[in-house]
Amino acid sequence: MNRPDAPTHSDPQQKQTGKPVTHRPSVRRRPAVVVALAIAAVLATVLSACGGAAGSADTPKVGDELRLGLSRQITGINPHKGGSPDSSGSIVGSIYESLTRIAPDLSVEPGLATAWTSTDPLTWRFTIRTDSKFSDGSPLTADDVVWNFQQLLNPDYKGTSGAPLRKYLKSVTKIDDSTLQFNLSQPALDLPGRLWTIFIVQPVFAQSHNLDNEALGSGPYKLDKLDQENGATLSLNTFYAGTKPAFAHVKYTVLASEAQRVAALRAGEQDLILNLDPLDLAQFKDSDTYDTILGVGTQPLTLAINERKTGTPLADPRVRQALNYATDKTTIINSLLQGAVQPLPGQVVYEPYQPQDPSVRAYPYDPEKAKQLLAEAGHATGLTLTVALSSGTYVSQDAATQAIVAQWAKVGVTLKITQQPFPAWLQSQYGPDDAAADLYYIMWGGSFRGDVTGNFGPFRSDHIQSHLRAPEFDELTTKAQNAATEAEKTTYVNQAIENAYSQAHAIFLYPSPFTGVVSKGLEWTPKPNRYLYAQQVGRAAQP
Amino acid sequence: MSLVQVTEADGGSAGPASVDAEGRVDRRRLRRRTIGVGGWVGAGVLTGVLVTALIGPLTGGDPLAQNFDAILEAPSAAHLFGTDELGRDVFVRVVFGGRTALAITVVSAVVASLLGLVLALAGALYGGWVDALTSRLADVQLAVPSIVLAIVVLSFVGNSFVPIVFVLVLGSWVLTFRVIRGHARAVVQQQYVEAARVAGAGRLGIARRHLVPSVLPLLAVAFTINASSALLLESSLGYLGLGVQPPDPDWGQMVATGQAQIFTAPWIALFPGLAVVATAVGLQLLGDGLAERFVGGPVTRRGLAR
Repeated sequence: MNRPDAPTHSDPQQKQTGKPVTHRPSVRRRPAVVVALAIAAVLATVLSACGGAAGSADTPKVGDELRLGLSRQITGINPHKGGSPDSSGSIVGSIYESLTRIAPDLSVEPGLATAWTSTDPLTWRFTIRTDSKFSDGSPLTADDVVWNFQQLLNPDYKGTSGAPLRKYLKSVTKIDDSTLQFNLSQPALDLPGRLWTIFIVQPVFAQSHNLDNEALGSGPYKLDKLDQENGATLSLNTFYAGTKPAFAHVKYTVLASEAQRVAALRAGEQDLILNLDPLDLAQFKDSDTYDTILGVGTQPLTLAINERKTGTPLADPRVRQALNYATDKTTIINSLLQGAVQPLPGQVVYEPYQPQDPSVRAYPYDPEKAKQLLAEAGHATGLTLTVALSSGTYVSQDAATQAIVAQWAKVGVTLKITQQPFPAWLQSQYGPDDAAADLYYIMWGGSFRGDVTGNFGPFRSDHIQSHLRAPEFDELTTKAQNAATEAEKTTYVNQAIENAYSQAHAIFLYPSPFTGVVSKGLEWTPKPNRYLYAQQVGRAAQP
Repeated sequence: MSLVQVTEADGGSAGPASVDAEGRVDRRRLRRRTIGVGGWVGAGVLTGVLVTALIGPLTGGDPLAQNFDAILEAPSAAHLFGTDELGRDVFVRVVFGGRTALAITVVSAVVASLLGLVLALAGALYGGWVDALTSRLADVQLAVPSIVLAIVVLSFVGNSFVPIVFVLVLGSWVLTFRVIRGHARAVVQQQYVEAARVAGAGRLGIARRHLVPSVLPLLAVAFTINASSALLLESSLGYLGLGVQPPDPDWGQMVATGQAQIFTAPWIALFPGLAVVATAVGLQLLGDGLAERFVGGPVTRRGLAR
């Protein structure tokens, strides 16, 4: 599947912004105990609410162990299965290395590969480091890299990262100890960017261990302990060839709800947590312990549309356009999102992370136009739709969706919310069109600048979570993916964007807000793609 | 753990202390007993909650009305309980949330009590495989934690009124069943029931004339405990996002929403939390009072105490 939230680095816009009760006495005491407990609970709540300011610790202190909060449960750490930046992805990228990496501005930079060149549209050569070692001391060789790609190119291999590779990559061969050749079946102008998610695992280890919960990589850290429900601990890979990270020990803790994240920060139990609701950042603004981050994330939030449900009014582009006109993005942004972002420009890509089509602009808030379009589509008397939410998954999503419910009600559209736990929510997207919700509040996006597959894949009809019917868009994005020149790619991308806008294949909302709270004892360049790699966190210089 | 833990009522007893050996209610003994101070307090609290929920809409407030110019405002004359992150009036939402919570709770408790009653009487009257089957059903139900069952069902079926009531009934019918079955089994072994049987009374006749009147006090008590359990489970589901769906107000859901802002805007979670506590304590106190009056001892979540 394409990850609902893939990465993107860069932070140009750092706005930083029983037994029966057998004796009578208990009969009479029990109500008293209940009442006392109830009162105690209420008092405790009130007292704690009146407690000290956020992060009341005296001075910012960061110990030997770096404490990083993850906002979603870990789904396994298989380096060949990808993973959300908010959980598995951050751990995998601290343990493993890939040929390329993504910089904070979403540009592609060297990883295990130090240089690359395309000899013709279907042939690429990568020069790789020869000094890298896995955390057991064994060297990482060109043969190891070839073995990893061979596994992923095997259709029977269970590593899901192989599926997109097989669409354009025929084989990887070793030229010499430091040179690899990639033989493509389709041109891939952005090949180096596409390879950043292919992490290299030690072949012998991979064949004898369960990579879902065991790890042996060449990254800065090695895995000490993994508890998918609660987190993971890492320690230094003493054989790591790169710069030694600032912290010898790292503890990732899963804090899957907003309340957990806020409580952990207020107790001073975490050094760095991302994904807090913008409204909740205020309580840390004047903290002596923490700095807050409020900026623009790299991936767009949209309401994904189910256009294929039997008899759905959403099959009519006028209805989809009407819903875009009926959504007052600006009000939501200015209140719930604290002005962190701007509405999406009528497309799912936006600067500074992705090249956007300047000819396409955001659907303005125009309820009258929305009513007119709905009337033209035969829904003058209104219609009822459902939207599925994954509880606690995206920043401010619950309140934002309720705001949309109120906005759409003004044009006669009744939007019913269904909250589901993440697995059930995901499963309903994989299922049949008729069983799926009409709309999904979801974040999708590319991970590097110009990432056609990541940016537009989820909006194609053939995506595993898609319920769209968009043949023209599919054709244009396929052409863009396979373009032989940058100019050709840009032409097709812009045509695809214009098609998605005019057909309103999504309800365009806003970029995801990038939010976080960071200990003043740390030095960390914010990564708006939310990948929380331990090696990128340093200690703040002491005054 | 199941929210409702039940053990078998004392099957060897002829029944509640206020019911004589022939299943008749001893009115003199009843008169000597009262529901006690706790019972009256409970009844008072519940009356207050019910009246507020019923007359609340007359105040003209709209629980869904958003006002982005007044978000997270502290309690004031304009907004008695303050406002939430969408600028909605928390007082109005607590009042309307009470209507939802009470409606779901009462319907669930009535259905659970009736289901428990029917299965218990069937088991007592027919004995044999019927009794074995109903008892094993109860055992199975007890073995599955109510909250887990609710999460699984609601995750995949959806969270409208009927599925929510369904999971609440599943989670609480066993209490009534266990309490009533123990008593009913004791009653059907009484000589006067045997005499009625010899005189040609059918099972339904025995149930109508002897069993039902005899178990009514127990049923009243079990109902309040069921209602309390259902309310807490409903609130828990709301807290987990699986109960009443936003933007419709729900106490548990409001507590969950306000939790992250408990330090900066405690009113969002505090008032709906207090409402849940007051209603649950009210139901428990009334249940204890009724048990004291009719049974001479408590019917707790663990069953009929002796």
